[in-house]
Amino acid sequence: MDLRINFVTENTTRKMNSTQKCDFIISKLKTDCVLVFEGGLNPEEEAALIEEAMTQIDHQEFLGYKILNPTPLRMNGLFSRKNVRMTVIAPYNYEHLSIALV
Amino acid sequence: MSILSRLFARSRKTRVTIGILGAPNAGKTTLANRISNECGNGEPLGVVSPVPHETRDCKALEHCVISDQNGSLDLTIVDTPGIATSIDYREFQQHGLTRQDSIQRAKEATRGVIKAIQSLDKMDAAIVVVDAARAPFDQINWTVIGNLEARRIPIIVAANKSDLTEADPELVKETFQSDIIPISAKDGTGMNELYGSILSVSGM
Repeated sequence: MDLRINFVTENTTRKMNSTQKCDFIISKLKTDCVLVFEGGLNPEEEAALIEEAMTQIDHQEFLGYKILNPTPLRMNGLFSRKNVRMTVIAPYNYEHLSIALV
Repeated sequence: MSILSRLFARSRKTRVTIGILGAPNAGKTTLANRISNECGNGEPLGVVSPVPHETRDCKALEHCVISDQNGSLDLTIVDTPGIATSIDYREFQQHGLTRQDSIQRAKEATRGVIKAIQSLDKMDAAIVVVDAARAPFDQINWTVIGNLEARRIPIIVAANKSDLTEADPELVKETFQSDIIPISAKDGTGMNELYGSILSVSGM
């Protein structure tokens, strides 16, 4: 399988609502894209993405995804996620691809 | 008392719904069963298994009463399925399930994850269970905590499996930059501190 990396600018996602963003992400994941989001996803979008992904897992081709917000987060201080600058999302199916904070 | 605790203390609730949340195999059901047992309920809340996604539906234990010198709290404890971003039926096959049973379990697991996400809106407070014997950088923990914070739901982070030699509750504390409660749901270590924290965030 060929793996592609797509950098998604904030300009691309700015006008998308949460549902549109989830649809965009999952459609890209299904075409073997790793997505790097400028600006990142917020926690509510991450939760919405989980819900949508669970409805679309077909137990054959699409098994979900791997995700990482590399920016260290702090639990103290509400809404600290505004510091997040990017989110990396990859298809789960690439068993040998790992994304990790090191 | 943390800022979140003080915010919650204003409501002075005596009946509180507490969700137990986290990644698969963090020990959520083991914790729920211990609380159930220590509340005098004879039945375990769920089955504990090394196979991921053993819990695939939310299960509630009502009228679990804990108290201290300031009063009593009537808890509803909700054990939730582990939250994940992927469900791979082949993982179940590695635990000895047939392919057909594995796919069926995977289908149930996807529905369970959705139920766990949707349960976030029904809680007064939450215990986020983190496996202290593994590196705590799983994005799921941040997703759960971020969503609870956005809903202004008080959070208790329990660093579970502290009985294991490889457990590192300090790393959990360092990662989340917050007070955490080291516990072992298996042997009961730290449960009094956990109950104290529940009473604290509930304003007792």
